Amino acid sequence: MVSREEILGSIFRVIDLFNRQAPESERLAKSEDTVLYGPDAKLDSLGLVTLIVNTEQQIADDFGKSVSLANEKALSERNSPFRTVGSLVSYVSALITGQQDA
Amino acid sequence: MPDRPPGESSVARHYDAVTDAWQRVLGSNLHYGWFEEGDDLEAATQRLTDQMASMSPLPPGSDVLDVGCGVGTPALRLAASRGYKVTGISISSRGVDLARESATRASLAGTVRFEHLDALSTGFSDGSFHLIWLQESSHLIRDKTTLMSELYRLQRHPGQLLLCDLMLGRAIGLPEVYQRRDDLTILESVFGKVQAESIGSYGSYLAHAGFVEVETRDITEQCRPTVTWWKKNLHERRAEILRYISESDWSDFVRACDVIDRMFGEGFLTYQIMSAWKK
Repeated sequence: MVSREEILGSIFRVIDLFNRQAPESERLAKSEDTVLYGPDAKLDSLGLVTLIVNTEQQIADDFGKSVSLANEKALSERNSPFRTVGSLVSYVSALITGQQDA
Repeated sequence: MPDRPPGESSVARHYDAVTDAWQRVLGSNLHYGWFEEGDDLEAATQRLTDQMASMSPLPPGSDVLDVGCGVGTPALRLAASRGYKVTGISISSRGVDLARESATRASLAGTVRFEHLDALSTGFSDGSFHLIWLQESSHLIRDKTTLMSELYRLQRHPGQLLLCDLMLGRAIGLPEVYQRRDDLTILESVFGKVQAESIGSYGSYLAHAGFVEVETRDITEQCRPTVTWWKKNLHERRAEILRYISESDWSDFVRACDVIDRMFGEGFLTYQIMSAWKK
């Protein structure tokens, strides 16, 4: 069972990677409240896509789980699972739990 | 005065790093060209500046703000051919240094000046300029609402804004960004963070800021040969260019040229000139 805290740790590692390459004003805070998508986000759409792809890779590295975050439904949803770090953690958690229940 | 250091953003860092190499690839103008039969890259890039300038009825002596002036070539041409008094601003300190050297060499330092400033916070007074000129700089500025509002503030009344840039042929959503991520990542690695928007979005930003009489002209076909010339220069001047960028960056640039050409062909990417007025 992968805990929410462990998933949050994985996403923080992805944010660390992003922040190492970003100028100070564009860095992301390591918080569940950090906005990832929408008008208030520091990421542009390609930045978000890159973060999603890196999160998939990080989850595979950390937990040996293959999750596909970037499906058409998730990318198109009005109530996007990518809007904050917290909602992304919940989305990843639900996908991993779904795999375990299957 | 500016409330943010202009050299701090990723765009500024990128342009400081690539300006020397880009002059060998893109030519001295650092812009796309407007090609007519028989033109080489130099003639076509000058033609784009001239065609854009011909859309302005403003007389010699008018004050012009060139936002994102690159290495200053269009600003110097506007001063020499139209008699404008031009202030060029850029967040790239390297670009500003080269532009100042060019102005001195061209004996135009009295009518053209270049400043290392951020377009979103220039510190200039309200109504400082008759003409605001953006040649391929707006796609690098993410906050276009603030940009257009600030430019409207700086615009004299009445005054004109002229803009040319790469624009998306239509609005795209996250699924398409995901689908095209490899191509878009190559473009970002070569050209820096690009905030391209659709033609409709530009119209909305301008209208929201208060600009009126917005006119748009699609010149994609006139500009498209530019990337063929970039590829030619990349191959012919490879050894010289590799003094400034790595082999891998050189290869990415070649790939980026192919990506842009394909995107032009698909109508995903277009090249537009826009004119708008403050009245």
